[in-house]
Amino acid sequence: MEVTRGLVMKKSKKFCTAFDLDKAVAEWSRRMKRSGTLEDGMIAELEAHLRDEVEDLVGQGKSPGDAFQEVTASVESIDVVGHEYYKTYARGLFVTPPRRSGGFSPALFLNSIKVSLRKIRRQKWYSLISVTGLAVGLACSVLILLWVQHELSYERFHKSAENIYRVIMEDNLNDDVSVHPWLPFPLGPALQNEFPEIAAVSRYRPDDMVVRYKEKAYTETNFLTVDTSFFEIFSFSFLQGNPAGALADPHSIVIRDIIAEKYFGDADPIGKVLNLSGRADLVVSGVVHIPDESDFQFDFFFSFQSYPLFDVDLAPLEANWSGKNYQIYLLLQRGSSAALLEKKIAGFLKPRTPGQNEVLRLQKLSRIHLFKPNGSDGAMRYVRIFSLIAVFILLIACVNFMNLATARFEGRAKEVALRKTLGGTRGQLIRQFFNESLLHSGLAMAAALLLVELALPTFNQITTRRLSLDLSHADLVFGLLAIVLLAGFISGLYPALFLSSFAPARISKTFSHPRGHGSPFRKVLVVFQFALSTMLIIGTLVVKSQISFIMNQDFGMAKENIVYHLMQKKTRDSVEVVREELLKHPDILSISSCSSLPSNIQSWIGYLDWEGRSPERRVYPAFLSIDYNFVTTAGLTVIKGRDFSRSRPVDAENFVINETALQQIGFENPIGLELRFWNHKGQIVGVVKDFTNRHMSSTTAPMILSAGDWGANRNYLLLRLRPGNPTRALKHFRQVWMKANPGFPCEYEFLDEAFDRMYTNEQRLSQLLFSFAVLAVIISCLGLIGLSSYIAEEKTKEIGIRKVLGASPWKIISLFSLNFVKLVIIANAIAWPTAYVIMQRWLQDYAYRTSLGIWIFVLAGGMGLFIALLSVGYQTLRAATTNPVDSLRYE
Amino acid sequence: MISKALVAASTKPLLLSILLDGETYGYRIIKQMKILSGGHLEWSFGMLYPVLHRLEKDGFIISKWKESDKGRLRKYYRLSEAGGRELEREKIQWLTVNKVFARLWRSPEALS
Repeated sequence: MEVTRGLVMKKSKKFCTAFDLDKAVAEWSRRMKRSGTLEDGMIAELEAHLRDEVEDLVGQGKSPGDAFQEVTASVESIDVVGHEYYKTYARGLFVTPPRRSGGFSPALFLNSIKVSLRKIRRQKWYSLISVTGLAVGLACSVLILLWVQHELSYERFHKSAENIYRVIMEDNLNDDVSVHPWLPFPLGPALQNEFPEIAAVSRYRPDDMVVRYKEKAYTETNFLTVDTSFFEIFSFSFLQGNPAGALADPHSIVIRDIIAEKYFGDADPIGKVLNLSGRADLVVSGVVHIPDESDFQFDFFFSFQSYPLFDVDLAPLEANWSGKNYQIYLLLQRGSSAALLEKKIAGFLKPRTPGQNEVLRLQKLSRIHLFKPNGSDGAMRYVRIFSLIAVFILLIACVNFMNLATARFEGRAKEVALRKTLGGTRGQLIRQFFNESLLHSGLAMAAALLLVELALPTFNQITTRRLSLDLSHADLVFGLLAIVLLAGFISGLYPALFLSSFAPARISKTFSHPRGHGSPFRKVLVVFQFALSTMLIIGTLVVKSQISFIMNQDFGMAKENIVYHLMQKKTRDSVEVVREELLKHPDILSISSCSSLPSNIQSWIGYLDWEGRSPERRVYPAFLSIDYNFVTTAGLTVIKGRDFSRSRPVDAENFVINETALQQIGFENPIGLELRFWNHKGQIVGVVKDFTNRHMSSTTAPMILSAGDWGANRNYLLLRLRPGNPTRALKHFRQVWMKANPGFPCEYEFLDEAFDRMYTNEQRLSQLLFSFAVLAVIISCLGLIGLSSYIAEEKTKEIGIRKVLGASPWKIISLFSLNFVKLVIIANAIAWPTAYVIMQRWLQDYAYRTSLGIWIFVLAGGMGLFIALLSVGYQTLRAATTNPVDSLRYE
Repeated sequence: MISKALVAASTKPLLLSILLDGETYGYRIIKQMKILSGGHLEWSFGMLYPVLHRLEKDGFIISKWKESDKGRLRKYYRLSEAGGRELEREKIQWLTVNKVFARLWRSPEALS
């Protein structure tokens, strides 16, 4: 007995020493505060009391712990104390404190969901319209979000992406700064030798070739010649072979997975020999996978070390500082500063290209896809445009949703009154309304995801991407959830805040909807929504008209009826043989060849020089090596002098330039002017009208044409055909070609199609814009239909009375439509100037641009109006033709 | 035990009367009341403080936070002039009631 007591004593003593009164009291007062019923001053006073009493009890011999326990136990529950205080301070009849909601109550929550579902069932029509509208809007936003996410992820998968840079050049030419990534061949290794912070360098040069494996032969346009370190800089995953040293052997070639399948089927590609253009045999040493999020969409990779196998001597290339036909990628040492290196390399070219003002810069790998070398928007432009559209559509859909919600909720004013009378607080009503709109937006999101799944194949076709909705992606799920919450929140805002503020007395007294506040608000929303839709329509029309403007521009050449065929060294030699035979066909009018397609001239070999040139006047022309008859075959217009002539052997040394080059040279009459260009010297014999040689968004480059043998490969055979049916001529061509070049494929294309391909981006953009604009308009219309049917329903009696008093249905329709017409007109007044400013900025990027004609705006406005009238008219018509007997039956 | 109704009615005059002796604080008031009533009148603090606040709001008493001799803060209450007048009014009423009881019960313990 004694022993156990001692133990107990000991225990309680231990407890005593452990008990900290201050801490306990602080905890107690914190608890009081949290309950929220008492003010701080009251709690402080109670705390003083607590301490007094505890002190007293301790004085009587109790332990502080026990005393504290005793006192706090004797204190009435916080609520009772709070109630007493409330009685002290409350004025008026009711001295019951407001019911404190017990935080989250599952039963109430279920009830709230039940009420929401019941509402959806009871107002099927509105619910359907609002959920459909929001679902379509959400689906559009999700699609765009997927696309934007994809665009922003380019090249980020490389392990050293942070340390990879592209060297770019800033060239100041006659007040015109051109920034481009095309650089001299020797620059890459020279940089690496000079700067130790560069860990690896790879040059890059795209190429075309004919690839042969056994009886399979195809013209392949996606060759990339690189340095051996390429696959060490970029981390493309190898399905077979080893990235390190894959290109070490000059005889090796790395191919892409889809190419392996194309040539070898299921057979093991490693060690197979591919014949390239009949000149070199390379052995497959690796199979690589190029992800979609990369701009390196090439099929074949081999190194510059293989050039000798193609009978191309590397020595003159390595000494050539004036030709700029290679891109250079650098891998920096970990931790070295790119900004610092950029400063160091800036003037690197100056001593090597005397007299020029070329500055080197660096562009980070991850920025290449999104931004042009000069820092302006590349793909980023589309990312911005489509993000804007996504926001627009989401806003339209939300506005719609909100608008219909206000219409739906206004009929619930009585419910608000009843709930309030029964003691529902404003907070509860707000929560109820938010719950409902969240439920709607949640339903809409589920429907939207379904729509996205259905639309993705088509969307991918248009964007030429392979996007998929991967819901295991945490970012995506989070993003979607955020959209649901945001849409639910925005659309629930009005009913939650406005409706919940109704005084019950006001509602139940008049027993009607307290209007006067709701209507103008809804009008603002309709105007906003229509302004956005109109802006989208205007944007679509401007893009369409710009594209057709570009396509119908004077290209300076008659690009129709021209067929081209890519040639290799071997087949090139056969041209002399086949020319005569081809020309025998009456439908083949003329034949020529050139070093690059007029739609894509990317050959820059040097500056122009002439007698008496002032040092500031610098002309860096695009170079095109052509055969005789090119001017006729390509359909160019000679505006000064003449074309090259086969009968004048000296013309092999002479030049033809384009209008822009003439302008930059600055001579009134340049015929006979002697030009020095690269290591050649010759006279200008003619000037041709500018023909489009680059993408229309940039200005025409100066250009120089030569018919001499420059060692440049005239890879493109051009045939001008007689307009009309080309089938027979092409059949003839194929026969002659196959006979002269056994074992080589015959794959010709029409030149105007190649031109059209230059604008696929714009065309895709316009197609997408068009689809989204249509959807936006549809969503807006859904809103209008819902709204007008609500109004028609609400005004059934008014319409009935008007009809009784002699109004014709037509009169009634025009009366109600007029309200909407007014709104649409206001929306246009907002949309026109805004769209004008935005589209004007978009057009800035094009060298040749259409004017923003007023017709575009009128057309867009007219379309908007027409659609609005159509959607409003039907509902009003239905109401207007109702027999007044039915609508006034109960009056 | 004294009935709830009587407690409610008597709280105000009792409190004002206690404060006649000078300023004091909540816990001491409760203790003093317990002793004075021989344990029959036990005020809970949940009731006392709200009443004190009420009286202060009506201007009958004045409160002040003060440091006690042990360095703790306590809220002390004292009677205001209006409180004194109010007590006089209350006193007359209570005495009147008391007089009636005394006559009815012919109690020798009459207050006057």
